[in-house]
Amino acid sequence: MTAFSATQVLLFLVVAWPLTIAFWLACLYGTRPSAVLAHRWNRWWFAALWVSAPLPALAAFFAGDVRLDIDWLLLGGVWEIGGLHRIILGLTAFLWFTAGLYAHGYFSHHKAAEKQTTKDKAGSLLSYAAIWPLTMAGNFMLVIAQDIPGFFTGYAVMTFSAYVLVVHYGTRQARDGAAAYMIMAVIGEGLILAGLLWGAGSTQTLLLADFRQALAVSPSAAPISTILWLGFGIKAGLAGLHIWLPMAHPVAPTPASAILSGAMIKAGLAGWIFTLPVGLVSLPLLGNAALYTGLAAAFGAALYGVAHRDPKVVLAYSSVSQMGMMTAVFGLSLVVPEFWTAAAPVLVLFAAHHGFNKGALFMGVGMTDRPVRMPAWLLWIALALPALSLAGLLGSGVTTKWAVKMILENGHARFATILGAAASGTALLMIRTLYLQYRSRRRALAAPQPAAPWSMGAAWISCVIIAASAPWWFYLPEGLQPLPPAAQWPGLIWPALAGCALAAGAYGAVRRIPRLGVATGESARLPIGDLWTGYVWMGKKITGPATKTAGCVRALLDEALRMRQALMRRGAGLTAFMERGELHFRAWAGVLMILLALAMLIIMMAGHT
Amino acid sequence: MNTIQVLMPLLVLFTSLLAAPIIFLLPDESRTARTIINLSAAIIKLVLVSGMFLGVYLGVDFEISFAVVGDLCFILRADALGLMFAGLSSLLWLFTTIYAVGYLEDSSNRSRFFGFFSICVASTLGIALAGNLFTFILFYELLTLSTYPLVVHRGTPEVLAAGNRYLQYTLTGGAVLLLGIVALHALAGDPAFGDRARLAALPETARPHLMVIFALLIAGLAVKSAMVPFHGWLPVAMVAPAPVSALLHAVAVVKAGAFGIIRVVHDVYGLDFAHFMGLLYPLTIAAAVTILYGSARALTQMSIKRRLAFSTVSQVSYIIIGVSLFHPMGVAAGLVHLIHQGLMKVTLFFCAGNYAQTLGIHGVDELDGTGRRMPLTSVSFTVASLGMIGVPPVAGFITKWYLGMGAAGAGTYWVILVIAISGMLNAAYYLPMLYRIWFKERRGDWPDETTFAPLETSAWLLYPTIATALFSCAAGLLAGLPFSPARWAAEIAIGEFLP
Repeated sequence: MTAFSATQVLLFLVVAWPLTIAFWLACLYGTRPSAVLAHRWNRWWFAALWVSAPLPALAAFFAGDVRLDIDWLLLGGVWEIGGLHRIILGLTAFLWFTAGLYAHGYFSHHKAAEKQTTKDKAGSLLSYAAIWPLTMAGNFMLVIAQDIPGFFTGYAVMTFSAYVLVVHYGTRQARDGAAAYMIMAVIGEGLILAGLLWGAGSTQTLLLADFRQALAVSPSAAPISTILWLGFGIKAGLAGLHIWLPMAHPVAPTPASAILSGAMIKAGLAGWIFTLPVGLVSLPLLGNAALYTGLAAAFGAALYGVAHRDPKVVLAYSSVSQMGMMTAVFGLSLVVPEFWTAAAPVLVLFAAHHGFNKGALFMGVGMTDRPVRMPAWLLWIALALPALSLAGLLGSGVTTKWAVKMILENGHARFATILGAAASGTALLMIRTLYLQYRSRRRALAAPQPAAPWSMGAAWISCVIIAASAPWWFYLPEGLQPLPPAAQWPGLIWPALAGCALAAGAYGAVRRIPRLGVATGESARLPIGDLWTGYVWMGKKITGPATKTAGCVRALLDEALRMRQALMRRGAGLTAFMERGELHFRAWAGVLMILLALAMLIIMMAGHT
Repeated sequence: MNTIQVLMPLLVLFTSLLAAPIIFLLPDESRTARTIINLSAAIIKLVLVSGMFLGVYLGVDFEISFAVVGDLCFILRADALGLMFAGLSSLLWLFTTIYAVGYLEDSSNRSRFFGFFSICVASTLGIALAGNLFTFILFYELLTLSTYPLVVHRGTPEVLAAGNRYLQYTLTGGAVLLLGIVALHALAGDPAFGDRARLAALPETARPHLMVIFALLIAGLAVKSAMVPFHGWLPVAMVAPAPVSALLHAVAVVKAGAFGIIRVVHDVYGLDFAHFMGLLYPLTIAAAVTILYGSARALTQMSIKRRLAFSTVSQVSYIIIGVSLFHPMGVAAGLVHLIHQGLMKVTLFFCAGNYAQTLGIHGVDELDGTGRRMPLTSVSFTVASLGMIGVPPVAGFITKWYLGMGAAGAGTYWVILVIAISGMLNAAYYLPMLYRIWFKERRGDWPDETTFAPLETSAWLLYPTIATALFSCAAGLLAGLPFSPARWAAEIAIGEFLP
């Protein structure tokens, strides 16, 4: 029996504690009347337990590097915190913690607003409460597991249980959005499993680190990497595969949207970093594909997203755009392996910056569509801070922009400029979001409903503060300061300012020219899932002939059956004929035999003579 | 070899074989006596098989053999592979018996049912412990005959027609298998399982004969293991009561076929020799076709049990495709899926039975809202379905992992594609059911509701379901433990390659 150190126990609890809470709630869900439980939701001990699920992960982030071997788990579990894994775990844990606190208030508020807890409502709240920590456990496990089965387990648990978080409201849109999520997720899981099996099978390895090393020298590195890139790309919102993002975000409850955009799409990026042989070998074709789809998403999503009227849709498209920038940087590292040493920490900083800010922005949406007990100036500062930060004007945004520019300066200056220009799009999206929130707040104040509970506000404000201050205490790549020197500032913030100017210009133009106003009104009718409609059409085009072929096969089979029946009828006819013949035969048997005997006699006599 | 070692295989066999006549003689009404006999036989058998497990692990042989006529021997022997199947049968027999008591105790002809039930399990154990093809086919045919009364238990004209179809298929298959065995016997004498050198040592002129015999053996076995195009009886046999379907799909009939194929490939021909003769690749293709065909057909089935039946068609060929890959991990995948598929499929059929027995639900479109009404059954159904799709940490994932390792190791990369596509197809027909169970609301009353307050359904039905669901989860999550199916299968497979 080996003794475990305290940090190892803590590492075990990172996954085990949320699972325990999920199990406890699932037991309650199965055994107690749901009204009793709905009542308990607001008890302090219940709330404290529920919110405490990500605390071991937070503690483990601060406790530092540790490794734990769990031989009995799956095919041998290896959990480790260290290097970039630790940062990604910290990002994930902080987001889950603030979103959890926020979610507790959010659902209390819903209960209060509905003024009734029908049995089914309370029941679905509890299933939500149980699935939340389960999804969290999966998310943590994929970050800390170093063995491929464990990693994939975490990824799959997170993916499948998140469906429940998305579909919660059960409206038509919610079901459609969740279906889009699930269909894409299943395709993604299939691709990832195929890629992992192919790679791990041809190299016979169980650990992620060995997997990357082996993949780098494998002759089939390119196809395996492409499969994995696409598989994880579905979660990471890769252009073309991103369709579930804008469909699922607006329909999910707000805390779940924050988690989806903040933590879970980062799992896709983490999947790329953990499995692809980036930095070890150059994959020019795949790298360039990643680079250009990334840039296309960075610009395209910004343009498309700005047309929408639901702030959550706009934010979802902003996530696609931001992930596009990360994909482009990642793609560049796939082409130029030497670039990865510098790019990896910056990419993780980018992910953390975007994750925290996007979490804060999504939570902010929930603060403007209902009244809040908060002075208006504070509300608007807290709303604007993450928006401006994401656009690259303030806080962690400037640090990230600077860091990206630093690594691109040597040899990729043009690329830096293009990425910078994409930030104008972000600024446009952010201003659009704030404007939409301004309108939604006006509507919310007009309708009488109870104010948001304090926990929502507290969670949101803390997420805003964490987001803005992240470079100072959370994570900073080596050789950087949180704030760039003054000389760098103009070069960093021009895209954001350009975006602001563009937004102001557009606003003025729409005001002045009525025809433009009508056109922008029309633009809101653009389908939210953009390519989804096209995919559905294509799917029908493909399944149509398939069903037709199946119909033909069925007709053929039916025909064969009919022929068989006809044959059997013929057979029956033949039997009857023979039966009749036999009757005749029997009646004439004596005569026939005598005739036969006579014939024989004649032949024999003829032979003698 | 001491007496215990000789008697042990017989004891295991006779616990249920002797229980049968006693049960036949009991009147239908003596429920308690019958249940006690049934359960004690099941528990004794489980204990004995566990004892043999431990014995084999420690290197003890259990074997009984005697010559029947000439050089033809009757051999019962406990080897690692046979014990896997025996362990599965005796474990699931216990659960299925409990379940069947709850499911059928109100119907007529119970003594007949449980009597044949015992014979059926005895023949499964015989198949598991058979030491050569002669002994194997004895029990194989006994299984066919003893399952027929179970399938037609309800006795309606429709059921009897289905029973006829079942007999047509299985008896024909049995005849083909017998032909193969006789031919092999004429050619090579009586090869005991594991005596792999014998066939390889035959002169080269015998090779074409061996190929034909291989085809005969596999075709005969493929009927029971429901490989396309010999799968027609399986969906039809769905008219049987739920515990019988569970038994047919998870333990007895289908598994007997698959197990027979493992024996032929692994222990009669030997992987090296079969590979050398080029016999494995066609088998891989046949299994791949079956996997995809079964999944595709399951998509459009609107009866829960029929959908599960086509899923079985697909899943059992995972076993066969695994064994047909020329790689230790592939063999391990095949062996371990023998157990995993059994655990998961038995859970699914138990759940289907629970829905039918408690709420009168038979169709997929009637499942709406069952999650709230029967949470524990629905959780079990969810776990097993996710396992079938291959979502970790449920057992099905371990199979897919081994299979992928095997496919890549053997260089047949397209098998990975088959696995991935099959997984997506599985998702496409299991997830809609889960969606209906958990996220759709019930409109109106249940078709035929029986209440068992405070439980959601009868305890006899509920606890076996939960137990098998837990086992399917544990087999995946705790695959690293020493006696887990995954470890045991890997040991056997690697032992074969590294003697």
